[in-house]
Amino acid sequence: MNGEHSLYERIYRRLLRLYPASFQAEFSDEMFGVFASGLRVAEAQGSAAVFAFWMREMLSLLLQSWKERRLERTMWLQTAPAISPIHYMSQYVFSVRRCRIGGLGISALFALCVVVPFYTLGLHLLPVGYAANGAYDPKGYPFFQTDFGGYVRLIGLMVAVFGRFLLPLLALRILISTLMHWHRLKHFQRCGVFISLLVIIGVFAFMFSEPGWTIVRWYLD
Amino acid sequence: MENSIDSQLPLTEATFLVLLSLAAEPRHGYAIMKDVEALSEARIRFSTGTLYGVLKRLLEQGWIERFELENAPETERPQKHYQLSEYGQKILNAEARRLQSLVTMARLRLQSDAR
Repeated sequence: MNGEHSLYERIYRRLLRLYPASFQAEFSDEMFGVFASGLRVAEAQGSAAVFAFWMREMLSLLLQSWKERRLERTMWLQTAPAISPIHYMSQYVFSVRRCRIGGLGISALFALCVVVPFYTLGLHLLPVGYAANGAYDPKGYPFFQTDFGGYVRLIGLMVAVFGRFLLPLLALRILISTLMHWHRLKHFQRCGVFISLLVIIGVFAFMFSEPGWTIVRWYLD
Repeated sequence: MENSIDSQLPLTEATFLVLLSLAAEPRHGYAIMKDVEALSEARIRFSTGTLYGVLKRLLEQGWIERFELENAPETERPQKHYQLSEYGQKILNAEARRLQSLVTMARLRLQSDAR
């Protein structure tokens, strides 16, 4: 090999980046070598052979790289459920396949970050007696209002009533699973886990501190 | 062990031909591609992507092994070669036996039908 690559080779080399990083690291040099050998044979047979070879290789590369990415994703979902995108859960619970944020995805752990504020609000509402008193609070104000605050209270209360004991167990399960797969996480995913934990701890600390209580009481009054 | 081998069968034609190609001797990627083409009488022509998809799967399953030639010429980039593992050899033998029994059965039936 003389170090100078044809346009076909340069394009092929670039397109090899479509494969997942682990596949590239293991096979891309070899694949490039095989492609270059095949191209030299095709060039000796004329331009029609080069075109046919090129088309076959391109189509195969696009299809196979998509397959490998899909396979890697499936493997990831099977082995790291807690930090994998939530559509793993959607197979069993609900369909939110499109709810992905960039490459990170909404993981079970990050979903927990969304649920925890409602959960803590619900825990505040429970002692007030909303659940026991039905649709009206002790002061006679309607609880289930069709405004933003009404929906937030409703969701908070439902999460607290139905998930009072289940949610901490689920959170524990998610955290254990995350720790078990810690070595498999990439750097940015570890950052995501840290941020999620900070959010969860922060929300709990705030909601059960004096300022949190004050805000909830002020809001209810 | 026998059960675990039987559970892997039948093999796809592509997998069978790659294993068969490596049964004769260790080969590098391009040589496998050409050998499969020859074995199948040009009926199966692997593209580079398809070949390495199959090789990756076989490596993960432990049916083949990869190694670098120790006495490769210094001027050339070191080529990775592939060879059948012991388990891969057993899989290949089992598949060959399975195909053989199918062919035998088919021949017997066709002969009896002809009479």
